[in-house]
Amino acid sequence: MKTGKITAALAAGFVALCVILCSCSSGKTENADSAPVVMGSIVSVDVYGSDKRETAKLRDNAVEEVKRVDLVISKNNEQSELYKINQNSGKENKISGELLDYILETSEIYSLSNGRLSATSGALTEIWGIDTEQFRLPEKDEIKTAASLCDDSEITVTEEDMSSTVFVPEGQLFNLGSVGKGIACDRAAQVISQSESCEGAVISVGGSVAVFGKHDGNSVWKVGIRDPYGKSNEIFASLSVENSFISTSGNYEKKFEIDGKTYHHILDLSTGYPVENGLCAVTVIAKSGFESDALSTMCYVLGEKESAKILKMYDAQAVFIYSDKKVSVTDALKGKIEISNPDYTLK
Amino acid sequence: MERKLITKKDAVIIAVILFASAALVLSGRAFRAQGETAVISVDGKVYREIRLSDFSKKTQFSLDNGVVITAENGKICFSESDCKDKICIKTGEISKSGEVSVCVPNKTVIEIRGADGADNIITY
Repeated sequence: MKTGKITAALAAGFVALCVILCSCSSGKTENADSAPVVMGSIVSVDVYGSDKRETAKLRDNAVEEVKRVDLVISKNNEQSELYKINQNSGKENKISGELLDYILETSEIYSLSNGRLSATSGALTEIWGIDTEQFRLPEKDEIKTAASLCDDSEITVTEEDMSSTVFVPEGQLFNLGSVGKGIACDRAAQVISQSESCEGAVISVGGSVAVFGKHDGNSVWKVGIRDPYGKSNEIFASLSVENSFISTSGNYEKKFEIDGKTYHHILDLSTGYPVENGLCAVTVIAKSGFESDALSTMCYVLGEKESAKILKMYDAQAVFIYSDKKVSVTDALKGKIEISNPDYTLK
Repeated sequence: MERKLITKKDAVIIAVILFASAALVLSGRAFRAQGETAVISVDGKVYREIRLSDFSKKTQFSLDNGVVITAENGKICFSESDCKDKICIKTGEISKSGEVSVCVPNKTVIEIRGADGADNIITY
């Protein structure tokens, strides 16, 4: 009698297990959908290819690469190279070629902003509490002093015996937060694309996206653009793109309210305050994640008119989303954007 | 005493295990992102596309042909129709990609579309 019961229970358990396994095996077979968190953001990597074991490995390698990049450029991670250099501001610091490259590239692209963005914006973002999301409204004098410490022309690099040192005056702090996710996307994409097993992939590091190759034989990827006034999983439009890097800078991402006034995290170094120009988000499609990240921030700060020349320079496209839900796109995007929320209208 | 392969107690154990597994499966379904869109068409023309996840509360759509369609909790169904057979209403709720409910007399079709047209990723 007892064994009968056990057998029956085991049989039922087996059936139950089968039901669960069968119900879970549907959907994507490319990889597990677990989403690690790096750089304070969700990292997702889907690799397409017929060799599932290999694509799963590539995905893991890509996530590891994002973690590695974080240890180079994170402003908040106490283990990162950038953090250690910032701790030593005002002194000569040894610096890796990799971090030096990121800093100089960032400084170069932001030089087009006429001092409104820089690679050394850390002093200002710090007093606003933006990096740690412990927001506060600083005093005017405090803002003026901090903004004066965000000038990249003070960066001094010395190359000696195959190694480099970097110097910035005391109080100056590097901040690559506006390009970090894009850089991580670039590196992760590089890791994956080197493999022959990869037919295509889609990567997201905190909303900075890379798409390349094909998925199920299709080279066109649909990238949804978050609805600035909706929930985090709601989109207002979709872009159809191939082999691109896509980033969005929006005023909804990090914001806080003091005395009924809302402040967001995209600061204009020339004023020291958050940008107020009628835009609520800008999405940029470019050839690299670094460029899409940097350009989306720069387009947001400079506004649509001033951005046109710079976008052309980088052969990049942009979607400008205004607070009144009017949307403007660069010419090459016409026909490639589909607006799904009827509250938004294309200019 | 006759030996039974499955006693009442066994049946209870089996029922509990099956119920628990069903609950697990269903809860898994609930957590899955629901990007499904219901496409309502009348006489072959698209009348309306509805993103089902946007309708957690009961919402009714009254069509010109007298048909009433109800969306609720990510599911959709015919709730009123002046047709004789009421097959459309008997079909009940549909919610998964590929499912279809039809009212032939009123030439009205509800079709669920999923992954194909869905976005691969979101930028923010």
